[in-house]
Amino acid sequence: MNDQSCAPDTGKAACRSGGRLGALLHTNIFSLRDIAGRLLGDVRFWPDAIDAAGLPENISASIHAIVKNTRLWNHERIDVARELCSHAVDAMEAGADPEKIAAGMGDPRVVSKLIRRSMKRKRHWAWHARAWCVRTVGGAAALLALMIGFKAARLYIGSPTPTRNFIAELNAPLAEYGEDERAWPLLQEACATFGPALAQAERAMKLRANQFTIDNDAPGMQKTCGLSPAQNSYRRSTRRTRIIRRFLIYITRYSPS
Amino acid sequence: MKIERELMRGAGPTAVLRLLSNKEMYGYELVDSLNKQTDGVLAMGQSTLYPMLYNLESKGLIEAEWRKADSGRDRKYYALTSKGKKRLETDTEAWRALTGAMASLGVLQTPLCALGVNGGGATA
Repeated sequence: MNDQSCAPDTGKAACRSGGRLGALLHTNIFSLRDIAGRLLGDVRFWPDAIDAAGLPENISASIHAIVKNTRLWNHERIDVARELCSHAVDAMEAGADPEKIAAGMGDPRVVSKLIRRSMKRKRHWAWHARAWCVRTVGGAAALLALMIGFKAARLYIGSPTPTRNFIAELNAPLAEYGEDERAWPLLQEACATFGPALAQAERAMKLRANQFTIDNDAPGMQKTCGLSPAQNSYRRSTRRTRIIRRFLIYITRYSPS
Repeated sequence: MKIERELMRGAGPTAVLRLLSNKEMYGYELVDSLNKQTDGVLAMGQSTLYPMLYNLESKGLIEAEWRKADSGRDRKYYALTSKGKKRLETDTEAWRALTGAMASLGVLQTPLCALGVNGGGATA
């Protein structure tokens, strides 16, 4: 595109609000054309195109407001700015009043929106594909974040409201039996009575099996309840030894401390 | 007379395509021609014209080119493409059917031939 279109620069005082830095910041980095222009030194910012037209200040300000709000790529803004400037110059040459021309530009926000929408439609299909991908992935991520946030809020803020008491339901049949009919007190009593005898039986088992090493002070013993590393030895033990062993485990695990 | 926005949305592109079928035109020329040829009925400002032109361009119905005018200034000229010509034919047929239907309902009192739209399109 040839950018040397407008009249010599006569109105640079007008339309300063955006400036070069503003134009640079508002330029989309995905416009390779703009990047190439900068690398090759062929840099031209859209406010310059308006300034170079030498239009009256009110018209320049209107065009500047429209082009600024389009938020298009720099070279697209230059194209729009040049065309609007050209239109204004043509209208002035035809004898139109500058006030009327400026008023005929319409509401900058509405016009910018319309121009932006139509200019974006002109872009390459690859850009549209990328935009759709970004939109889809972004939307999915936002939805996922929303769902996770909702669940987290529910977890940390809310409190459980159980509608069914399973413990009461499980204990209900036991309530039919009296205290004297329950087995657990008897087992506790048996533990207290036969504890020393069981310890003696354990020592006897050690001697007999010769593979078991029940060391109550060994680390992890409380968790394993005597299931020693010598499990093969346990397999080889007699049936009687196994029963005693199981009973020992049971007592160790469930006896009151 | 001011045309409603929805009506203008339907009539505007066809009117622009019709004007461009005669010759290449630039923005101001299009506005001026529309205003003069339709007695201001289809007059549109820049805010309507340029988004419409960009839309037509994105659809491939018209193409634009910056060119030096006789005055030495650069102007963006718009020309009809082959796709645009086909669309103009389709739209002209549609408008003819529409105006015929409206005439049969008594909305249009004057016969179409008296309006000078014998195969001419929507800009008469």
